[in-house]
Order: sequence, then C-alpha cells, then structure tokens
Amino acid sequence: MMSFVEVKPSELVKKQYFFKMKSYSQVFSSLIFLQLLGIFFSVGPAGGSVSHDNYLEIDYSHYSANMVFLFTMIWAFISAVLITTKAYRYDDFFFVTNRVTSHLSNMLFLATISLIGGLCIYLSGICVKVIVAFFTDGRIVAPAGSAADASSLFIGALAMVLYLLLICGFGYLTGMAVQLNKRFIAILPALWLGFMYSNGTSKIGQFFQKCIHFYTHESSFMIFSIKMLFTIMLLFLLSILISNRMEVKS
Amino acid sequence: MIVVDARDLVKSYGRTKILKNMTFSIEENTITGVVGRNGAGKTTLLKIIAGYLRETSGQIQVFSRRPFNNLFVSANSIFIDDQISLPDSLTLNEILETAGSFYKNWNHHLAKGLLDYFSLRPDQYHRNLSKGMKSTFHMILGLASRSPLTIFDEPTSGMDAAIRKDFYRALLKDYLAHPRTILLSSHHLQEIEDLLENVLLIDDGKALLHISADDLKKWAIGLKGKRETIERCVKNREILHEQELGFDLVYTVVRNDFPEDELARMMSWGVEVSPVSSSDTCVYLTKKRKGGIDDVFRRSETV
Repeated sequence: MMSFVEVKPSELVKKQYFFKMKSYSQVFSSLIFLQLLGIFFSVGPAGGSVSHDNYLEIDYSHYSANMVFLFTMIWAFISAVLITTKAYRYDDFFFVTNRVTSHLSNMLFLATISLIGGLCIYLSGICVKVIVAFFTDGRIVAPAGSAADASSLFIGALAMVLYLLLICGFGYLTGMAVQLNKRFIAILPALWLGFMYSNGTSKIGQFFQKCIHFYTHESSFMIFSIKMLFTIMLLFLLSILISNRMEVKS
Repeated sequence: MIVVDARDLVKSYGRTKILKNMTFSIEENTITGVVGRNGAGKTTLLKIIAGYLRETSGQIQVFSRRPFNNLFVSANSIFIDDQISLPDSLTLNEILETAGSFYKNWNHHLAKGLLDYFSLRPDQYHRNLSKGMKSTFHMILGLASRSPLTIFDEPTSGMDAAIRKDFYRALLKDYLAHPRTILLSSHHLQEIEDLLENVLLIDDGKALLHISADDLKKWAIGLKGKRETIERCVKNREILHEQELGFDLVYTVVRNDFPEDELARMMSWGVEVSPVSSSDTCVYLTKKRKGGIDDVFRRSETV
C-alpha cells in the first residue's frame, strides 16, 4: 500500500519558487542582454547644447540611463506575460500544484526579477557614468540630487523596483486575460491606444490622465509605496480570480 | 478503498457533450485499462480524474476529494501522456531531480536506472528528444514517481515494439513490488490485456462495460457455420458482429451466456464455436454501425 502524501501549501510554494528560479533562467539572460543594449544606447549623449560668448564656450551634453530603464520595463512586462503562457503554466501541473500555489510562486518569482531588475538599472546607471567619464575629456557634473546620500539612492532604487513590479503585475494580468480568451490580444492594445489618444479632451481621457498622475506625481515616498503595493496586489488578485477556473488543456 | 468514484459525470464543451452521465468506481491497488475508440472520451475522463479539467456536472471523487484544484490529489497522482509540458531549460537529469523534489514517493535510483537502460543521456534536453524517446522518458517519470494514483494516457505512442514490451514488463514488476492504483489507456488492448486486472470500456462518453480482464476474455463467443443453423442458434439474441465467409457460411459473434448443454447441441449441428479475443469484443461492442468496413464498399459499388 502506497503511503499518501500531505502537502503544506507554504512548503509547496517555496519549492515551486526555487524550481522557477532555476527553470526560467532565460529570463535572466535576456535581462543581461537588454541591459547591455540599453547601456550601449546610453553612452551616446541623450541631449545637450553649446553656448558661448566671446570669452567662453560651454559645450554641455547630458547622458542618461533612461534607455536602460525603458528596456528593463519592457523586459519585465514580457517576462510576466511569458510565464502565463501554457508552456510555463503547465510545467507546474505536471509536478504538484493547484492554481493558487502556482500563482503565488509566480508572484514571488516576479518580485525577485523586479528586485534584480531594479538593482541592475541602478548599477547600469553607474556603468554609464564610468564609461562616459572614461571616454570624454570634459568634466562630469552630476545633476542636483544625484550627489547621492545613501537614503535617496535607496529610495530611488526601491521606487524603480516598485515600478517594475507594477509593470509585472500588468503583464501578468494581461497574459492571464489572453490565456482566458484569445480575443484579449486585440482588445487590450486597442484599449490602451484608445486611452493614450483620448488625452484630456474627453472624460475618459481626463480620467486616464488622472490615473497616470496618481502614480507619477507623489512627493511622499511612503504614500507612493502604499499606492503602488496596493495596486500591485489588486492586479495579482484579479489575475488569480480570472484564472482560478482555467483548465489544463494541451 | 475506492480511489476513483464517478457518478453521472458529464463534461461538455459548449453544446458538445464529451462525457455523458458516466458512472463507475475504481478500487485501490488495481490496474485498470481504459479502453475505447478514438474520441470516446478516454483522455477527457483521465484528465478530469487528474484534476486538469473541470467536470460540467455530476460528481467525481478521487481519494474522496474533488480533484479540480486539489493539492492532495495533485500530490498523490501523476498524469502521463505524450504531451507533457516540461521546462526547456532543464536537462533530463535536472527534470528527474525536480520531479523527485515534488513527488514524495519518488525513487531516484529506479529513474536513473531506467534512463540508463533506455539509453537516454542525462544531459539531453527534453525538446530534443524524438517522439518515441519522449514517451519513454515520460514513462520513466510515471514509474519512478510511485504515485498512489498513476495515470498513463496512451503511454506507448511512438515507442517501438521492443520498448513497449519492456515498458509493460517494468510496469508490472514495479506494480507488484509497490502496489498502487494504475489507470492505463491504450489502443492496443491485446498488448496490455495480460497486464490488466480490470477493463473499463468507454463508448460515446459512457461507461459501457467495467469488468475484470478475465471475464472480458470470456464475454463473447464466435459461432461459425451454415447461415440457417447459425440463425437458429442466435434467435432472439443480440448479434455483436456478423461476417459472411463465403457462400452460405457465416461467422457471428454473440454474448457468451449459453448453458453448457446448448453449446454441446450447437456443436453437434456442425457449428464451430470459438473464443473471441478481448480486443475484438471491444471493437464489436463499440462499433458505430452494423456491418463493417466491407459494407461501405459494397454500398458504394451498387450505386
């Protein structure tokens, strides 16, 4: 007689998390590739000006690692969508899972990649500075605020992580919606474009602008974090709700 | 103990009913063959038992629990078919290790041994395996997991004859050493019938027959003789199969519930009585129409 096995959900989530960290390794290799690409595009000046009078000429160019940030955001979104696809979702079902533990371990995985992504953005910023310093003759003038006491650096990095996690939440929900019904592939981009181009003129557009404003213009980091975390949880909760009755078909 | 219990189980997609009020139960520590024609609903049934699909109505219980979204059922069962989704980034050896971490009864020694025996390299990737090698690897996963409920859905597809034979032998050996409940669906009933204790015959979404494999071997009987004699013998009986063998000579298959003396009488009339193999019985029972493929040609020629 075979002995039956009882599993604790928390233990299973942990196991699934470590399994995912190992088997989704291509997510990390694509991060490295995209960050390098971002750095490559960032070492050229993002803008600048030349001003002069008879005695003095100031040639000013500014560099930014925004490209790295943008690429990483895209990477986070795609990675989140990717792990909702059958090829990834069904791996869990071959082993031991139910839908909730599968989602929870996915969330832990996305939180981890956001953390790593955020850290890498920060390090890439430094990398860009070093490269620029190395290859240009001029003097480096860091903009105000970036002179970096430890706490503002920390806050900046943490904000980056939260943004990435938010993007992951959107990606995950998008992916799950598409898995639920393929029509969302057309509907979601249409909705997004609709919102983008209805700027300010219509009620919907105004609402959309307000939403963006709600997340991007917050001076208190504390309140910003709460807003973000709340939204992220909402996105993941919604993903669980819409997919909890989804079947495993091949 | 009853491991799988289905009552009026229905599964439909939109208006198409795949399973139609299926009722049966499967005892603990038995090997049951799930047999039926293509599209009879075998895979759907097995996937519902594994908790992959959700029943539309009726009741399905595995280990006295509803399998869909159930951790206990997931931890104590494994579903093997030729379309298992496995991570592309892991080697076969890593997949075995992962399976070992999830399935508590996993026997790594056995898994490694079988991998070696079937000449699968541990550093290969799953996506690079051929169809038959994939099936072989999946079979290894199914055997080594030693799950209390092990479900094989067409496990031998793509395997060559030698590997199929080895697989059946390995399955039987491991089952005898570590009894568990095994569901095995296959098109090749004649290959697996010696392995099976019970047969669950499914036709058109219903459980047509659920009997022991021994009973199935004796379930039907073939009668060969002159048309007139045979017609007298099988009067008022349901004819499962009829075939013309030549002028005035017919072969008829009916249910084997004749008393001894009647059989003796028929033989004295010159009727040849022969057993009907399990797999033929299943084919006759699940035939969509009277007359065989010959009929189609006969009709197309007369037009």
